[in-house]
Amino acid sequence: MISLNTSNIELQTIKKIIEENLRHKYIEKFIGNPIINDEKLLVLSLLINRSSLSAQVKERYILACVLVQVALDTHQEVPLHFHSEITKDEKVSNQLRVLAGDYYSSLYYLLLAEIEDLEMIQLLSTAIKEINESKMKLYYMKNDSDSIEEYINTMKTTEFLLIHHIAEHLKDDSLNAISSEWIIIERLIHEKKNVEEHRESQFVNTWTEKYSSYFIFIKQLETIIRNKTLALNELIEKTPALQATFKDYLIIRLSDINNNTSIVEEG
Amino acid sequence: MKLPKTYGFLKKDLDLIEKSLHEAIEAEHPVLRAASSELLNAGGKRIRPVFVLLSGMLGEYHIETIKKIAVSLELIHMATLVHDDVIDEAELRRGKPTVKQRYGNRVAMYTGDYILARALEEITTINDKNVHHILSKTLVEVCVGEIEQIEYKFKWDQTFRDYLRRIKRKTALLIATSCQLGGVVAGLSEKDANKLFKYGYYIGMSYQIIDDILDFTSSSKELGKPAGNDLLQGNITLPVLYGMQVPAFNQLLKTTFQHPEHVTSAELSALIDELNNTNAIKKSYHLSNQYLQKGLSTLETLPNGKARKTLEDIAKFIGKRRS
Repeated sequence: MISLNTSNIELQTIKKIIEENLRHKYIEKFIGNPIINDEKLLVLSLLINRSSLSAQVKERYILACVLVQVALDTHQEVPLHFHSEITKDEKVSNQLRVLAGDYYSSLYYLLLAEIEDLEMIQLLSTAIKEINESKMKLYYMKNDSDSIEEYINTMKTTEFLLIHHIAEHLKDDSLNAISSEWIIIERLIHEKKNVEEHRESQFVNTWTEKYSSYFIFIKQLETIIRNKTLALNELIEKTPALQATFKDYLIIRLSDINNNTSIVEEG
Repeated sequence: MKLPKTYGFLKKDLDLIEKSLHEAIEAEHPVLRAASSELLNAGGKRIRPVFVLLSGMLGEYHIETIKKIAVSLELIHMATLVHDDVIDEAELRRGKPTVKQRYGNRVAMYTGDYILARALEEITTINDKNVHHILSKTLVEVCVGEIEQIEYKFKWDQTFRDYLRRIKRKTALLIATSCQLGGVVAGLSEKDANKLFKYGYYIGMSYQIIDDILDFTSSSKELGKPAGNDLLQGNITLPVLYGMQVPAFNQLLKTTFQHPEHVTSAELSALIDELNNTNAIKKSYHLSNQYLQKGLSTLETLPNGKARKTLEDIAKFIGKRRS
């Protein structure tokens, strides 16, 4: 759980506000509370909070961006197939994932229409459009014609597009390199967990069969994560203007990642 | 007479809208582009754009502005269709394979999200706060309506009010908003734009009730999906609610749907036959007609002319729709 204090809005408060805005009893009953990506929330909050916007606009922007992200993430959870043997409740959950994503999307439009910020609505729509183009590219990438590095790069672009657009809008790209690298590291850690726990994911589906064994695949992933954390550490050192609390947070987080990314032994 | 004949004079502007729709979905990714195009090429009545254009003709009609509203609303409608087909696991729409069927759930989700994003990109080029206040509220309501539709599936104790609220959100609101926004961008007074909203609302209610009737009275070929499919999916519509007031139908319904996942087509046919033995269809048409009359009377105080006459003709056509 992130408890980093950004310049003027505390993240836990933002999370609470977001959860209040997203609350829907029936959706909650079947698919639970929406999962808010902590890393993206943190970067977006840092970025938006240090702009010269008014406090009200800052809060709306953060909420709107998180709604977009939650909408996209909820749709990503729609299963590839609705299996016929599933229970009635599982079927309802699948259907609600589709509708909940649409509902969250409509809320971001409402939220920004209320403050008559057409520019931001357009910016977020463009980001969603490009994210879906990028997701299509990822979906059709093949392990025989594309390398895992190319795949991860496309994944990084997809994951970072929303923040990229916001940073461009605020004319502040100083966090781009560090935050995009951090976000992809966290995503790879999540995918590594998927592999270890034999959970289905698009990443796992695409790459598992490429490697001769499960251990080689995990080793490869760990090597990529380790290299990326080293590169990120260097990047942090080279960026003196980085906000001190964010810098400290990242250094601790990267150290945690390194301690937990022990190369697995085969056998 | 076919519906398009009633608004044949809109052909030039509808062609422009069609062209803009194609341009709007020219995605970079070939599959995303193909999936969107196939959906668009499958046709459809483009009834929302027609309502936007006709409503706009009651005021200052500028095709470039009106077109943006019409295109956005049709794109929003298309996006909901792609996602609805994932929810319903539908294989066919308008007799052609759905995006979900052809490319899978994931592509269908991306396509719907892409099309909705394009709709909002398009409409935000209109710098009118009222447009966005109205449309954003409508979109939220439509989504809530779709969620309610799932919540009320197989809920046999639901009321007529539940059903009407649901179809208002699911269908009538977007038609009402199409009419209202056409009026707003054409500079009509708030009062007249609200009248157009009401007209669209009543017509939308009437339209959906007839759609729900046709699920029981049309053939599978006419529907492009199996007859009784709504009920099979658990959607309790107006004819069913009226039918449930008749003990014989009510009994058969409950018995048939004791295990909804095991209902056979023969059992469904028997149930449709039983429904046709009641006066449920007649009563449903009666309610649909009441909405229609309200819609027509709402138009009476709007400027007389070709556009109003066509809105009346469309209403009457909807009332007579039997397939």
